[in-house]
Amino acid sequence: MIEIKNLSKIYKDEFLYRNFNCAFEENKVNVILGSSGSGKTTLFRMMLGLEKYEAGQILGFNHKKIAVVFQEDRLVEWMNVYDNVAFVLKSSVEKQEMDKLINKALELVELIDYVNYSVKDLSGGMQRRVVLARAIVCRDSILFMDEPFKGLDDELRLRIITRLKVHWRENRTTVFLITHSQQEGMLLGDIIYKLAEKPVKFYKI
Amino acid sequence: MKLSTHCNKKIITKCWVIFFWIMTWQVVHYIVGKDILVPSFYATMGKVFELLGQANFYYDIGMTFYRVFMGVVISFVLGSLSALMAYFLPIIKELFTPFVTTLKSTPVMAVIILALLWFTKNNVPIFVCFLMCYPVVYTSILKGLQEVNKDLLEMAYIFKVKQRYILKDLYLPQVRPYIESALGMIIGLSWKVVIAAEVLAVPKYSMGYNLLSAKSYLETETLFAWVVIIVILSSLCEMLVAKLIGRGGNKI
Repeated sequence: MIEIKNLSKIYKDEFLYRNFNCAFEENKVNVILGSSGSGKTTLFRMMLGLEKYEAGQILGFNHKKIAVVFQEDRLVEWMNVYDNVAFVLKSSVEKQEMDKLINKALELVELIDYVNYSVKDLSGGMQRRVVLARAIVCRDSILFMDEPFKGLDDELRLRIITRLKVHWRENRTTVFLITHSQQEGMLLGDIIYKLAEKPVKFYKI
Repeated sequence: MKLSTHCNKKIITKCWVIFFWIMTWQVVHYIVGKDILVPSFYATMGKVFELLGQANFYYDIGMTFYRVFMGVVISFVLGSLSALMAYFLPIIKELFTPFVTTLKSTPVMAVIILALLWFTKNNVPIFVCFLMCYPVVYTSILKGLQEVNKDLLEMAYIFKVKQRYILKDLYLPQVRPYIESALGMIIGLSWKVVIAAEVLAVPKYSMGYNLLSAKSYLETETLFAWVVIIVILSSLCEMLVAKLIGRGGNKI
């Protein structure tokens, strides 16, 4: 169980979160729905330990591996597709095993024919798929995804979502998916939390 | 085919540029009309070849080259290390800032005169070279480190990427242009500074000492010959470093 206890966060002299409590389930896809500026990304960054908060506790992440799809691509632009994905793996995985995992991830996002392409030469949508591959390639990690499918056309997005759903079920992956798209939330989520008001409150759907 | 034509054109252009400046030199020589003020190109080149035949010439060049090399290496190593420390520890940066600012604005001559008091005449040029080149390396590499993309570092931190990969794959490619630029700048600067220091410190074997004695005996041809040799050697060093950096860069 991943728990947020009595979390308080002040943003621009105003409580964005005040005594906020929530428990997320492991091995499930937890979708956090909310409109722009509702505090989704702030929550995401606080859970990742990238942003400080005034009070409270976030429990359950100790010593766990984490993989992230940030809202921005954060690709290493002087590397090719393979090296970008390999960058997050090579500290912990042997080369042979790494090749298999990368191929599988790139197949899932339909980029297997672009392994040696420089990411600079790819379209925005393709770059986003490299970012997706870089996150899903990490086994046994808690997956954080902030608007992971932005810039993808509808057909491709649906194909990838379908594959991801199967992939996550098989691997019993714990996922935190932040999105403003109800469709994505409905398609992927096991549990959906909707953010509303300020200070933020969750409505479990 | 196209590439070789382009190369030929470049070589021809360069030859024309060299020819233009030799002609300008000759014209100035004729206008001035006194060998003691501006010797002719031919007389100067004759002197260069004459120097090439002397055994001491190579020893003088070798010693000056050694001082340039040591000055560059010491300033590059210490400049890089202190830039790294300043980047990771803000207090070190605060501590170094007044030192580097002072070095940047101190005249070379003042440094040489002080160094003459502190060091033996053989080591003065190395010390002066270090003091003049160090701020260039420190400032350039620190700026490079500060420009490293923080979002990528954050990403690597979250994915628990090992430090050596972060250094090799994220820091090095982004700081490399700054390292290249620092090296390019200090190579040219080091020759000038070392020879200036040699002129004042007069170590026994040095190009600076030869410049000084040529001036003292009003041997302007010899003086010009040494200047030509210094320019050639400094340019060769810059080209060599540029080539080495280019090769290293391709490996990254």
